[in-house]
Amino acid sequence: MLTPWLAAGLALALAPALAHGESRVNVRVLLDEVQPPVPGLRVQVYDDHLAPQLVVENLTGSTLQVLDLHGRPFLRLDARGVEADLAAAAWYATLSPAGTAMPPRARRPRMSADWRRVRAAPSWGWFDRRLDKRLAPPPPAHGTQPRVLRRWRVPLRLGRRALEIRGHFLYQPQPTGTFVARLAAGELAPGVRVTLAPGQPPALLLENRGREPVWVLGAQGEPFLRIAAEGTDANLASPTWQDLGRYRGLEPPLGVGEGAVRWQRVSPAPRYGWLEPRAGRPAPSAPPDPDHRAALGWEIPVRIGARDTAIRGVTEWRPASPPPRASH
Amino acid sequence: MRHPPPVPLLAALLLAACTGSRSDEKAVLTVPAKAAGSGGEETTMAAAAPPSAAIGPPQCAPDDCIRLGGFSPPFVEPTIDPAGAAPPESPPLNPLNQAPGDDRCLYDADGRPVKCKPAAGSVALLKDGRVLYFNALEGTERVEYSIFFEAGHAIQNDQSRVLTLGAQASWLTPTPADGGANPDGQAPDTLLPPGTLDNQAGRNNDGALFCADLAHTADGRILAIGGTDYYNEPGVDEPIPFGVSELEGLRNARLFDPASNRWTKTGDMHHGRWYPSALNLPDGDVLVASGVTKLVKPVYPDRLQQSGRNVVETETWNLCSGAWTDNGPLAQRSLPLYPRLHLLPNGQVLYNAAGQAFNPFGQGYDQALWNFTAVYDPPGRTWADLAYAGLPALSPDTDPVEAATLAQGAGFRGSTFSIQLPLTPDANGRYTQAEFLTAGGVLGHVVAASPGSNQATALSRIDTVSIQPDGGLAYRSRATGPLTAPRWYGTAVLLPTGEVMVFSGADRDEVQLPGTGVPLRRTERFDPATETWQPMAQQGRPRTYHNTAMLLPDGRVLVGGHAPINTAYAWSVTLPGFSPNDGRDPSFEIYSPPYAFGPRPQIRSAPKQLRPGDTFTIATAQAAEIESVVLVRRSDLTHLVDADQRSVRLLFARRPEALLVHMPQEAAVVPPGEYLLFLVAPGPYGAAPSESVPVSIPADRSC
Repeated sequence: MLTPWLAAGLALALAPALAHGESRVNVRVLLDEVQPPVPGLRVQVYDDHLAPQLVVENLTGSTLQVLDLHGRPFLRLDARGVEADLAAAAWYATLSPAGTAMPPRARRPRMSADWRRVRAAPSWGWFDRRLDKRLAPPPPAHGTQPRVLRRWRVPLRLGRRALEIRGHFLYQPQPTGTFVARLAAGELAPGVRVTLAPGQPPALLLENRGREPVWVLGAQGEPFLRIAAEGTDANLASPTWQDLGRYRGLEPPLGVGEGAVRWQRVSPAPRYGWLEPRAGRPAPSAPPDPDHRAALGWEIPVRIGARDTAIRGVTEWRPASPPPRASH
Repeated sequence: MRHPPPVPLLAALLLAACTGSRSDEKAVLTVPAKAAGSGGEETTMAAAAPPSAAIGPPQCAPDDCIRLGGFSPPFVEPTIDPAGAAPPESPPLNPLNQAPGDDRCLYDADGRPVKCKPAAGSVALLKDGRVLYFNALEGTERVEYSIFFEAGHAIQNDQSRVLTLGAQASWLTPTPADGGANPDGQAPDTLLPPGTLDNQAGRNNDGALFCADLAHTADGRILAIGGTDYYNEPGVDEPIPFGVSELEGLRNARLFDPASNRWTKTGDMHHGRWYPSALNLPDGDVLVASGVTKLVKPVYPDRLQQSGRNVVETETWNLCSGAWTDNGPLAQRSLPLYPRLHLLPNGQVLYNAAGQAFNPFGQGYDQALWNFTAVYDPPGRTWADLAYAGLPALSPDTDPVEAATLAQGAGFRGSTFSIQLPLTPDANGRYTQAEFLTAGGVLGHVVAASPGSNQATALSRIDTVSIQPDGGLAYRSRATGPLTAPRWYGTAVLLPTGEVMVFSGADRDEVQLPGTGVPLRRTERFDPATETWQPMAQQGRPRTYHNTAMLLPDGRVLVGGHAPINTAYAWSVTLPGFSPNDGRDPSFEIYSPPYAFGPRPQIRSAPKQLRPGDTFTIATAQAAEIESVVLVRRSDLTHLVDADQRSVRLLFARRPEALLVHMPQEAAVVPPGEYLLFLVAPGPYGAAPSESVPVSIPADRSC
């Protein structure tokens, strides 16, 4: 989710690139390998909305040094934790996505190292400038196929051994758009109405002014909610209910097995609103077509009295913009 | 371009020393007062007398005064107390950073602002008629390059002030000026073990009043709940970014006592809260809901279920013991920040489907639920959903245009006000209905997983909650005429006449992209008879983010505030034609509505203390003309929120030169606290209220 603070940070981080009319939104920073590989040394790249971040954990028993662009160590990781060279410009440049202001003493040329412990565990993450997406060549204007733009390397020293973290910048256009859910019908039966509140995931509000209780069934067909004139109950043993995690301290009693039902009054009203992921976007394993609208039907099984029915609706994928023309 | 420093810090300190300040006195520096909008406020030197400034008459032509009302020239605290103005850690100077060029700040030798006058980001009308206020985002002027990364060390605890209004305005600094909470840094909810690069120790930004909510207690003190602890958090494990500033909600609650002008601590909450909402319950206890513990990175390894959303637990403050009680699992609810809450006449608490929604990751993954209005029952400690906000009026016979308008403006709304319109008794003297006016702000648009649109709306609606004979609640909405212009973050004030004025704000969301909103200086008035908005007088100063407005005992309105986020989350700079973002605005101005320029009824005498069910007499020579008797609760407002805001019309009978008045039977209609009692009569320029007399309603309990 791109949020205002992050958006602002992103805007700042991307400002130089955007000033040249280039968007790197579809450029990913990927890790390939540590060469040569070393047992006990774990590396990952976390590419958030702000900037890609290298994260390293050193359980090798030897001291790992991270070298800057000029070969000067600015981080040391060993079993005791992490030390930073507070006299190294790279320490300040990599501390945050936009870098951190350097105190005057650290700006003196040929300042000798000033190692300080900054963490008591042997892992650290930093915004290495060599992973800056702006270093990659511009992506194709309307490319639709993935393409490696450039490879990057970060030198390390483990004891006396030289190592490298290697990776690449990958151009990978992603579909942009939104999932919009809507109900097929608002009235399930006389006095039984459903309203959908948009969101990711959306929420449903069911009001039961009818004579018979309404059961909403969970994802496994289990009783999930019971909404009746005297109030609304939730089945604490329902996996669907538990996945919502709505109330802290209202967990099912220990030993409740599969198929059990433990009703708990959660509202004195004959209506209840809940998050309903089943009405939201489809599973990530089925990404939407970036170019075309698509609609996927869904239904939430409901029992009104002795009658089985369902809350039915459609979730529509709406691409954000017309598809780019292929350049390949 | 950086302005030359008017008074370097060193000179300020020397000057303060030369005035012979003792350690128990404020070391007050007088700086030249210029151009606070009026072209020359009166200025006083540091001495026994408090600093003061003249308040000029409304600046309006006679015809405009009686139609539109008028504003006094802005007036501003003339001095700056240099205490605590330590040189900040100094990143390299940013030549593009704009600092205020007038007397708003003190500067160090490099021209950096080191301390500025506080703006009224939060205000409360004390029971003695004075005004307590405190700053918002104190120290943003010290940011050189980006508040996103510098807030943790650039921002300071907010200063508070007490303002006395008369022919002159004078200022007093409470003790301690910053409210005194958390002086050594509470144990923060950081992701790292203490001692690893945290900057908690020795920083004067661990107990900021900023983002606390305010509530009058039943005995007339001001309760400030929560607040901000700023720090930079060098996170380690993904997906936590490094070095980004964090704003953590405080567990602290503080009390300001008008009798001593002192802040003291009361009980700590169980949960840190930033942007909570609080309101008085009928017995004088105070309910608090929502807020977020960590704004920027709401990830809590020890309670993952809470991560990515706001604090769902509600708590209740005990008036007698000062302790907070967690209200239990069924009292939990996911709510936006600063949820718009109101106490209903049946003692239940309404969530009016509005609030603030911008904390990263914690707009709330469950924010779709924020579209539903709901009520909380304090005795039962449970919530009940009520309706999808703004939609229930739809029916086959609904006017299509209204239906479309309602549908467009339905659901959660951000950065809007929520005003409880006057509670009015039925023929039996019972209060069975409450109405709420919501106008402006930004629409939800949560469909795109965004907290809302960046563009302000002009849509306006009234939601009605009716108490049914069986105790149930009915909810309906109706569209009113729109604002004359889309308005984000307008502060509304309910006048004793039942009209609603809205002040300040901008045409777009100044949190999403600060400094790019066009300020709205034209005020508007809602006419409850026609349910339309009309433009009124233009205020003197543009005030966008963290603006405030508040009804004064004489029926005028105090308008202040403006403490913006640095432009685009970078540094302080005013983009031509947009919000003034070169710093905060510490000035105030007073709005006089049209009725202030005509004859008004007068109260000769009235009781100073009342209880629910009382019958009492008001002496007035205009008894035959009085059309309403109104109790207005004294305001305490921050970020558009005053959950205790209420105006109650009382049943009365006319007597010769007197009124026989009946208090509501229900304590929930007039919860204990401090009120203003007005009489309203027809006047040549519309309904005209008297000046008020103070009334206390004590809690019906002994502590």
